[in-house]
Amino acid sequence: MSKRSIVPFGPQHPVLPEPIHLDLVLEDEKVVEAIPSIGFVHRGLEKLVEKRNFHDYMYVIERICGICSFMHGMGYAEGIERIMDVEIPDRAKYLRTIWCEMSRLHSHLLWLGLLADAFGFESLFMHCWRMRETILDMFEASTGGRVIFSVNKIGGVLKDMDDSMLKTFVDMFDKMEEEVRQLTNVFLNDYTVASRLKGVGILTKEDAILNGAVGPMMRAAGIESDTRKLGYAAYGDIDFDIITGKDCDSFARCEVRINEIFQSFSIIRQAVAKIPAGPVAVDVKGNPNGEAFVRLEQPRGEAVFYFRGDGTQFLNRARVRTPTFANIPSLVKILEGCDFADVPILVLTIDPCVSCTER
Amino acid sequence: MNKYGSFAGGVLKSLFTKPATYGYPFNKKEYPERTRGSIVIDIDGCIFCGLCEKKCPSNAIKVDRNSGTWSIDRMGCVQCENCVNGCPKKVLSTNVNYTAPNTSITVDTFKKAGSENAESVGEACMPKADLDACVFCGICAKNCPQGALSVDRANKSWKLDETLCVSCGLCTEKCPKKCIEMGADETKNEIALKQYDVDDFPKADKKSCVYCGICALACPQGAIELDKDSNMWTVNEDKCIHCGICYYKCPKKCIDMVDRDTAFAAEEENPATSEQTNLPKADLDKCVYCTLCAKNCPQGALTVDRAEKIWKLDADSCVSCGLCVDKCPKKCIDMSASSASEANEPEFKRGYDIDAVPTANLDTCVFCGICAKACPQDAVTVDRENKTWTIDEEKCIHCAICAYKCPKKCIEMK
Repeated sequence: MSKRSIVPFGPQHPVLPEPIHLDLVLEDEKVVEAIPSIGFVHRGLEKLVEKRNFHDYMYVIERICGICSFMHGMGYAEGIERIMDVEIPDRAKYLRTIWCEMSRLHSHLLWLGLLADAFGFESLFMHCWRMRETILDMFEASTGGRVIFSVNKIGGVLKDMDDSMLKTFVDMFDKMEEEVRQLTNVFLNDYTVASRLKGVGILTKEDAILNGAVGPMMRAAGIESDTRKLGYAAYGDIDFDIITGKDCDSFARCEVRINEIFQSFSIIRQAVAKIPAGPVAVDVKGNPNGEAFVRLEQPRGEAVFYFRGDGTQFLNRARVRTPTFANIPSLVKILEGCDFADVPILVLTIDPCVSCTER
Repeated sequence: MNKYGSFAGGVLKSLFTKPATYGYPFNKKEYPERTRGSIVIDIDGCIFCGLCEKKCPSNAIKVDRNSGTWSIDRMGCVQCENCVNGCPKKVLSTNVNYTAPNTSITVDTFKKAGSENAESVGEACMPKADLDACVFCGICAKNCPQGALSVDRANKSWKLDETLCVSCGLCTEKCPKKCIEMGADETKNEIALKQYDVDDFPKADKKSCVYCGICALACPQGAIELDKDSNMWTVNEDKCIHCGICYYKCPKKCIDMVDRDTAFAAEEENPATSEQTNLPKADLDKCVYCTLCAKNCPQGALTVDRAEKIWKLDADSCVSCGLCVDKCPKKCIDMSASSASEANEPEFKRGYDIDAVPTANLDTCVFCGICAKACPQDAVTVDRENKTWTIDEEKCIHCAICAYKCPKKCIEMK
């Protein structure tokens, strides 16, 4: 038996843009145990719900995360609409769907870039982020913001995308899809990439269920789990299959996310083809009284929102269970027995978003 | 399947293309039309209603009605556009250009020309409709940025929620009949009548009831009895005339008009213990003197003066309903137990000599008999037919309940 040593990993680490800390218990070069700790960027955003008018809280909740900001705002809007029994116009549902998928696109491209950076493929990283930049520009043109979109409201959305804008976007996506295809082929076919990802960080189907994994983590283990199939927003009218992987390793997770990029292109095209004309928002009168659970499929996996109102303009409680929080037990599981040198990549394969996790 | 150098094509291509970057600051980016760069204000149109300040999620905006200034902390602003969307006068807008970078916190202050005297800006006042001219079209309610107005054409009601009103005056402008005035007096408008069956009885939700007794005091028939200690709230079926006044007066809105069976259904033991009788106390370090608490106090027990920075509670009028605590946007009012002893039954606090006997002013008395019903000793006798009001001084215990219950306030303790 070799000597055990503990190596701290994070909260400051080149591979992590956000602070999470892991105590890695090593035996030689093998990790035998990983002890995570969070709490470096807690901002108390959920508590603020008690002090902000429920309409204005929208701008607080979307600041939970800089990547899924649209979906946090949308989850909140859906929750309050459910409590107040508001039926939003169909056009707003489709617009939300389109923006959701654009969020997924830019999130997955960001992740691919980070992954390339983590295994030292700098130029691949740069190209992924160049693609993502185009999507951010599209966000800016359609919502006015590049990171925080502030476009949801309770009862619909604040801004409409006219037909010419939608057409321009679809044309841009058509062009982009070709480029993304070339880029992702490098991830899927290159020898160096495969050597870092294949057979590493295996999370079996049983372990994924046992540790409550969500999102691409879960789907890469071959489990069909995608809350978009619940049919919120306009997903009920859109034809798509749940993408799953077989090998349960880091490569499978990468593959699932790459396939989801192309699925997002397809969903956006379908939504643009089907989008009905009409208003984008309805007026909402009164205050929410009651409670609601909302489940959304964010790029990182399933997020669960809970809201409770008591008939005043301030909600009693807001709670967000973010996908990264749910994936931390799986991360600890896949770190056990891995090589020390693989730790950064394994941490990345859960697509960690620590700001979300701590709120 | 796995190849070496699968990215070689991409690398070669990149070698012969222009950089993807812009070359800032020599080449500036063209912002799309919708970009939220910075907030601009047309100060001449601003009415200093303060809605933007309330809506700002990062508290970057400060509005001062008295000095006629509007200021924004450029570093605090998160460009969410909530103020722009909420401005009733549409004087705020977003500019695509970001504010210039700076090494210190920049606060931009805008001052309305000629606003040295407060009159040009106008004191905060509430709109009031002339119901004789009003056609109940509902245009005012649709335009109210705060949703403070509710207009019901069927019931001919026009109702203002004074807690929400920010005195922006938009209702006055939009009214096609020009029948809304921004009156400086805070006269309460007619209460809209709720649609309920004429045979419905009131029923209090004991979960939210604070046993303040306002309903019992308001009841013209003395049909409501309540007791804080035993969590008892009952309405006398025979006395109740279904007028619904208790329903309107309840500060906690916990009384509902329900049918007879529901109203008198046997109810399960209510384990919810009500709060102690405490008086509210504001944390003056946090208080912004917005007067929302005073506007909401059903008893008018609070006096708040923004100019003088005064927050005063009339402990005698306070019924400890806790509405001020609920409505305070800063959550700076606390129902602390510090002055609990003073607060016990404040409405019965003696302001008269202990030996004083009630005397009715027969000029104003309508001989309704409410005082006689309220007297715990049956010392008061009222005869409506012969217009007499007598008190048995032997029986009187000088409790003054008759004086409190008198709807005409014609009984004095002498």
